[in-house]
Amino acid sequence: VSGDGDEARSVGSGLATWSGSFLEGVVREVTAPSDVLDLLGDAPKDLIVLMHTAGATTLSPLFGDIAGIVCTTGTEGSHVAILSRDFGIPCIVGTELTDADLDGRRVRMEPSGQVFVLDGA
Amino acid sequence: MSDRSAQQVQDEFEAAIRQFMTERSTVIETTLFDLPTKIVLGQYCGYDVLPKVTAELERRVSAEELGRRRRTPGLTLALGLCGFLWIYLFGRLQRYLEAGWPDKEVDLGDQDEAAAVLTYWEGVARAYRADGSLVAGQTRDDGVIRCLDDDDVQRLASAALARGRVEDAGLVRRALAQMELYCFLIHGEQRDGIFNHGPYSLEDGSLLVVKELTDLQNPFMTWMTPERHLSVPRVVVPIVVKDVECWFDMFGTLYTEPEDYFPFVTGMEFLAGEELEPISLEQLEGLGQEAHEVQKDVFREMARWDERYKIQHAAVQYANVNYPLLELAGATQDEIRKVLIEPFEAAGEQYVEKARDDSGRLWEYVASGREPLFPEVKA
Repeated sequence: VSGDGDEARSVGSGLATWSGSFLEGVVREVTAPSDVLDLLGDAPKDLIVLMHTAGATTLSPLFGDIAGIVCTTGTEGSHVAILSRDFGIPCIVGTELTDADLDGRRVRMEPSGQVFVLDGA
Repeated sequence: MSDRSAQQVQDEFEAAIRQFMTERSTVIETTLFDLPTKIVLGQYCGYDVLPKVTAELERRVSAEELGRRRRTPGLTLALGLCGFLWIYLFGRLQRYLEAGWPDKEVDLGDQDEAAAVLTYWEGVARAYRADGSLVAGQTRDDGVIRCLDDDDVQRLASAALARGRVEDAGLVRRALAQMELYCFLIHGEQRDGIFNHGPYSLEDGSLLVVKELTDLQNPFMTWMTPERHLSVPRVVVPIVVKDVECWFDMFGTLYTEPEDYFPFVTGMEFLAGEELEPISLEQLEGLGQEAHEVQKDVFREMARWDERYKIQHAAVQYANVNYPLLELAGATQDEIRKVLIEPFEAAGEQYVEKARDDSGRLWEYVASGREPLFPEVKA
């Protein structure tokens, strides 16, 4: 798979909560409130959040500034999936990653539920 | 007058809680707060304070009259009625578990007090629901919260149908979701202030459901300073849908089949403010933006609270969810502070360490599935 001239390597898949086109962006991993604080006012335009809990309140102040979410837990009915649909944000829940070291890397989220690393693949 | 005994009220509520815990498919996981511990703290406070609040309510107004006053669109923190009894009964359970119940006989001398709370609550809930039951049944078949009189149902349905289908579903969903997140965050990651009710059947087979976002100008939680209030205290959204199944849990969560009900909406109106006046989509979007900005500010503060306050704030939060009962009974804000807010805060200061120590005991007991869930009420 390639996109915009980049080589792409699959790093996992889960359940996509949207249909339509793919999304490319830069991943920032959120594991604690301090990660959210770091992103407030300094979020990249194409921010894709990687998170490991399916509750969405931690992301509360970021919704509206997020382009996409990859969550390693959760189902279609999880809070993060519900809110993603409300905000029209591509989201993949229950994602099993073969390479979890995605922080700062550019990825593509596909509506099939696949996640690809685009840089340094 | 009710023909239910206090024990029967407790049994009915316990059955609803068990069903709620079984049916609820999503669990709120969070990194901001230790929810199990802060819930235990709020419940300790409730066990101490809510019997006195009940006595104050009873002094002011009959349970039935208070229940009737609740039958109004846009009631602030409407989920608080179930919250009131939940907080008290779980707080009582915590005390009994601490004393060795159920493995040994325990009587904390609180039988009359517990009976008074249950009896008054039953009177309010019965008049509020007016269908013979006390709480929503949690499933597709019996998960109903019909708490409006016919005139209000017709008025809201007409308003929704007059406005018609949603012109910009994306904008509406984002704005409502922002306000829901605002409610979640300011209430310490709990859903106080978010309430839906219905379904109300309309003549043509459509259903009316009502989405309510209230407590948008909270007067009591110390972190909710005036600049963090939204520009309206409440938003009420009557929604008419066709060919959609709708049901509710006891705390007013709306479930639909199909889950995305927007394509089936035939009418939706947006009402805001004390008088519930119609607002434009631009105003709705503006409220969503306000909610978004405040969340950033509140989150920054909450994330920096020390570990003790991340639990202790639950005292005022759990007091807050009960304030509309006193307000409806005619109490002023100063009186509410004296009867409810300050006693909860004092209890929170007293119990914060205890909540940390005891949190595991409660949740282990609940998870064990042992019956009964709550100690008997003998009075």
